[in-house]
Amino acid sequence: MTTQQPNDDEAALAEVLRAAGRRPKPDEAQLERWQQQFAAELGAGQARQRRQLTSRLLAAGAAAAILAAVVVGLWPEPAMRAPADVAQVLRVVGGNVTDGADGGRRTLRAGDPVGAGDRLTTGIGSGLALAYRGAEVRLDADTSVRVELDALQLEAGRVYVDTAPGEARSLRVATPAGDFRHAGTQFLVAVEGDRVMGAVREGTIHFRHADGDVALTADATMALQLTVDADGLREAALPRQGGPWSWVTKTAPGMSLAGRSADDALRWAARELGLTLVYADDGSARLAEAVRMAGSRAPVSPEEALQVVAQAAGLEVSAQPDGRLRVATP
Amino acid sequence: MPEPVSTDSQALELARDRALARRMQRGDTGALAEFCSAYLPRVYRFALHRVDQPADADDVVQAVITSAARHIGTYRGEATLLAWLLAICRRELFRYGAAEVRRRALISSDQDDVFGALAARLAAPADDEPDAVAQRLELAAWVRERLDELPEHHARALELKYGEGLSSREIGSRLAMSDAAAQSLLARARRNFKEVCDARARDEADVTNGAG
Repeated sequence: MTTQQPNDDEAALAEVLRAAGRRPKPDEAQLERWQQQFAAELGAGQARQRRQLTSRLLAAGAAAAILAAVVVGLWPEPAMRAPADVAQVLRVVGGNVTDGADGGRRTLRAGDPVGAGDRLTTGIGSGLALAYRGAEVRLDADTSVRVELDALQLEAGRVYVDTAPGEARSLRVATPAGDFRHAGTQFLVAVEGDRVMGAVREGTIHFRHADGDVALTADATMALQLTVDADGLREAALPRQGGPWSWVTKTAPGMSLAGRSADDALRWAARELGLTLVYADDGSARLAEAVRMAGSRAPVSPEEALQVVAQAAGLEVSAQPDGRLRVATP
Repeated sequence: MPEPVSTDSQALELARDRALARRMQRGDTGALAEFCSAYLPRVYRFALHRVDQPADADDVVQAVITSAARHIGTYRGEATLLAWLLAICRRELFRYGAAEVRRRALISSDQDDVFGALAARLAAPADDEPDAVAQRLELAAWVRERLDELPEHHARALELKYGEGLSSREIGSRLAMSDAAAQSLLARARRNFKEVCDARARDEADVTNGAG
């Protein structure tokens, strides 16, 4: 054995840590999504416990009823098993959002679980955000979706799907005209009467229909849209914000800014709004990375996040007509 | 898990973890944010080391979240929250079909100078032998996992000092503490990291010897 001098030890430690490299970090959006999932799962667990308690009370009542039925020579049909939970509600906008399953109907609240086979319906002025198969799914007003184990059956209205960059999990949105599958990250599907529309603004979607398969890949400046109606199938370029995307941020679960850097908040807001974040110079980028947001943990919308960050960091933030979110020091 | 800290500080950590779990169960959103930012990145890295693809590691983290949220009421604080989460993560990795990371002794357990031994192994000249390259990558991941066993402010201080080359004054500024407090933190972090590496090397040597 040899005795090491502290300096040798420190030099060796420096070599070790340099060679080991930085620990990989999940990105902020991923961490945010996990936190939302955790909150939803905790809420779902509490709702489940309440249901179990109710079930036990009902079971106790049912046992008494069965006993009574046996006594009078009757035997009830066995109860159906509850469907498995496959999604959780992240946010409800407006009060008119319901989940109908097995003939029943309940009003949904954040944290509620959603089972396979449930039909979700949003009324006028309402919206819904769900955690489903690792993605965030949003329903616009006046939309009806049946949730399956591996697919969403869009019966009418509009759904938007957002998965974090790098995700590659199977998620299918089925429509009367065919199925949309994602190989990318931000897309929406609309069913309006006999017309079906799919649009992608980040990554790729595949549309599989009776006659074949079509892939649409968005680029950094333009979204792509596929329309299927009585005239056939048409592709067209589409802006990455506004138009059919306008409703998407209204149902966004929001982001808690406290403790985050201005840069994180700007990146999240830009992505939500379909904008490309561009710093005017290195100084503004460094400032945005250095400024940490303080204050309330209440989630804010992307538009609110831009206002708060501009004020807190003293940055000029402006959405440009070419789809860039320009950030500069005054 | 090796015991990287003294009994007193471990008791303190367990008490803190118990309180954090209770606050989360009561629906305290601040506690949830604290829990997620402190532990989920470590669970992610633990999974990533075993499945390689970030999307797969994300799948595993989500499964861990589901299981942890459902069973947080059963957490009694007998182990740290990190150890509890990693136990869940191991089960989810098994279900996911991830390959077991082979537990072999990466460095000798009777080595007096653990950092020197690690540095020598990591600094081996690059060659074309895939085994040698794989071993160095495995050792680098091993070091990063040991960092994850430290309290996060210890790991961060070591990374800032030795990974990014910051002075103690700069580290103090980043971590909102005085220069003297940063120096003291670095000294504790170095000692703690050495203990963690020593303990894990002994642990793995015992497993290797026992197995063969």
